[in-house]
Amino acid sequence: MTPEERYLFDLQGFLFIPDAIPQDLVQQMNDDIDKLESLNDAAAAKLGFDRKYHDDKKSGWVEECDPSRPRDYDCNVLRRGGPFEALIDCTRTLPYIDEMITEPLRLDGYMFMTRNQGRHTNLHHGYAELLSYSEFAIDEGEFKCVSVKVAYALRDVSIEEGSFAVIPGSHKSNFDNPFGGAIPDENHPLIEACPCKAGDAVIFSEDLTHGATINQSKKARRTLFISYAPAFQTPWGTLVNTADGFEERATPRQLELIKGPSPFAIA
Amino acid sequence: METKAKRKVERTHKLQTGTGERHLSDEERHFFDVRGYLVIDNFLKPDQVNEAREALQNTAENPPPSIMVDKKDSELELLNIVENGGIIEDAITFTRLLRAMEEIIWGSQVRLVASRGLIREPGSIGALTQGGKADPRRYTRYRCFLEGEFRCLMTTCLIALNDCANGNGTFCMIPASHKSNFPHPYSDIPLEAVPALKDITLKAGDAIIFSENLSHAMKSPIKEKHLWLSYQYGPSYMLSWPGCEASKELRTRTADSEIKTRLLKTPYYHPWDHYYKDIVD
Repeated sequence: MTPEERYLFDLQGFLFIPDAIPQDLVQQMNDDIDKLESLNDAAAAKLGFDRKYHDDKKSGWVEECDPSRPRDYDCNVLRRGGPFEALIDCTRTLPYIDEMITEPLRLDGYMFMTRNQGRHTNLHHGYAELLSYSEFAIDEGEFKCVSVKVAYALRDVSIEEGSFAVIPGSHKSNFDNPFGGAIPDENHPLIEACPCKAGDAVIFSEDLTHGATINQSKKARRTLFISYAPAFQTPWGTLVNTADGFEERATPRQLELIKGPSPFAIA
Repeated sequence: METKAKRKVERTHKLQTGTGERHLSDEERHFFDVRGYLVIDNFLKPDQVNEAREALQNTAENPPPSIMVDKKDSELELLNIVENGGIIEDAITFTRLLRAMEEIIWGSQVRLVASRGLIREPGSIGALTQGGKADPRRYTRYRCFLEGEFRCLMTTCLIALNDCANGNGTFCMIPASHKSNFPHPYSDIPLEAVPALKDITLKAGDAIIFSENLSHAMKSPIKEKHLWLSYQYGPSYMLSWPGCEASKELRTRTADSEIKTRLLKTPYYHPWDHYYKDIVD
């Protein structure tokens, strides 16, 4: 990280990384998703794309079923494999993650998510929430963060199209988040929306209050979320399950990030 | 001294189960925050102490496959000793221990990360851990936030199965070192020569709960061997210490106990997370 990037990440709790994914890879990913979305759920699941719909009460989301609109979903896209594996150790973002966590780390979750018209993501988290697994920390000039996430845009997304939104500085807030559960209002002085071009990324501390503005367009927002944590933390359930043959084709770093290095390396 | 009335702090958040509840007294909370440890007198009754001692001796001679025996100098470590069952299994849920761990770590989202039996002969050498910010073991961090809400990582309960006093096999620590900002300069000198080190006198059956981030060590027994039980707890998402994953037999045996099941659960972030429910536990 440059001194300015270090300064901005500490100050704001997030960093914008333009062109994190090469355009040809973005195209491959979108083409693959287009193909999978043309299949029914069972057929897509057989190919490793097991959709979990947000209007399904079992999903943990609280969206209402609306048959007039496409259904939002997320899935463990690592099971699909293919072009998505390249982001495990993305050369544009992983160096930042290494410097933000500063100890043996693992990839603990990888998810693809859609956001269709009329949908948003409520603002959530903030330092004062005291989530045990989410800590923005610095010690002697080194970041010692826990749970750092990367949101990759697979399509251009403007504010009106449901972009990522944050409250800069909330990763250090000492008071309860009064906007917890609220729809991000990009006109509020506290809130900053992060429009992206396809291929851009936002790296953020999980302690940062974040969400997504309402998608007012007919275009579905497509985002890949990848989460990294110290090696002693468990993966998020099945969100690190890989596609068949992954171990044979993975790079050593990819393998280490998925399996996790020895969790208690220093005993 | 304030009574240990259960009080609720209005900071419980949707994602966090069972946090914000206060089980420690104000005095205990203050003590733990300042010193880094708490002593629980008479944690095990005399008959329980005897049962535990006998279990350790028998296991050392005939360890089952689920318990690993490691001999280091004059110390025998029985890793994953909770598999032994009996009082060693039951003690992990004792109220005074569990309530303290829940408040110190993450409410009901606490799990047993490791368990050990220790048989220490005269001559056992215990190295002083680093502790504080300089401790490279990130998973030991001591954390306490606004209004005294703890979010500590690995926290240990050590139970004495012998009387330990006056430097005879005693647990010792540097008080308040869980908050030290600098590395201690005592790595290469004998424990007896460390001026800041304090012994904790424990009777058989007493327990000490301490942040693993506290600089601590164990002195050598002088004449006879000393036996200990060690339980290490962490937040629900902390992986088990290698070799301390609960066996199928243990899970089956404890299936009727909600508390034991929760403590031995496969690591998780949120119990309602659908990606966790997909895992066969």
